[in-house]
Amino acid sequence: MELLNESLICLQADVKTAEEAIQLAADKLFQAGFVTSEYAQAVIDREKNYPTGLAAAGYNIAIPHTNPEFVVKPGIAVVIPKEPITFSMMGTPDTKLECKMIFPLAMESPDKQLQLLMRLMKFFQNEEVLQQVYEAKEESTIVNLLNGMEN
Amino acid sequence: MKRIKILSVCGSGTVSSAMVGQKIKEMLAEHGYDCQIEEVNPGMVAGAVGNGGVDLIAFTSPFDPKDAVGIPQINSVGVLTGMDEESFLEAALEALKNK
Repeated sequence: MELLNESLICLQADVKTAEEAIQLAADKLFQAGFVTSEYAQAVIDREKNYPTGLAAAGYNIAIPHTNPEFVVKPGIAVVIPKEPITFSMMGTPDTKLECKMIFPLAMESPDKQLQLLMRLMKFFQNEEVLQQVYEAKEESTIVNLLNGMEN
Repeated sequence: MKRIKILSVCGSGTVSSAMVGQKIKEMLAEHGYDCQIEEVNPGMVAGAVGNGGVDLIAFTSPFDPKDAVGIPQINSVGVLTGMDEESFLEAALEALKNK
């Protein structure tokens, strides 16, 4: 399954806040047909109540997402901001994380895609592959890393 | 295998709770537990607890602890990132040892 394409990758993104990063990714996901037009606001609202910053392997990342009702088909966007962006930490909102990579997720109900979710989790636990994403010069590098993560 | 029921709580009851739930199921199976995992969002905790039989709650989003009085509640974000699976497992095994 194609989870993403080059149009969903934002390298050197000129965004300064979590909201701007989510809006940027949501616009691209919407244009590419992965989510509905309500997705952006739903994710922004949810992030305030249930933040998604994670201290992953070697890097702080964030995985903003929302309920399946705003998702047309499963996908992932990638935002690499010029400067790290502050997200609150999942589970402990009082802790702030400076995140270097943001992976907005468009996910359906878990029973439909447990394998995909498990592969994603392994991806976020792999420091080597996260470094390759962070240092990527070309959008295609990241597309290949994420679409190839089952291998 | 001892059968137990675990609530996995995250903001939408979708992404993180499913990732964490599946991982917990695998980890606890190695210690002789057959886990039934129910994914919920924080607002669903009280109802799920009310249905009975919940042995443990693993959460990546805070919920009202009063919704689950008397049931062990363990932060499971470390399972999601893989950075702290061991301390989750230790806490879970401790909480389940009389089950």
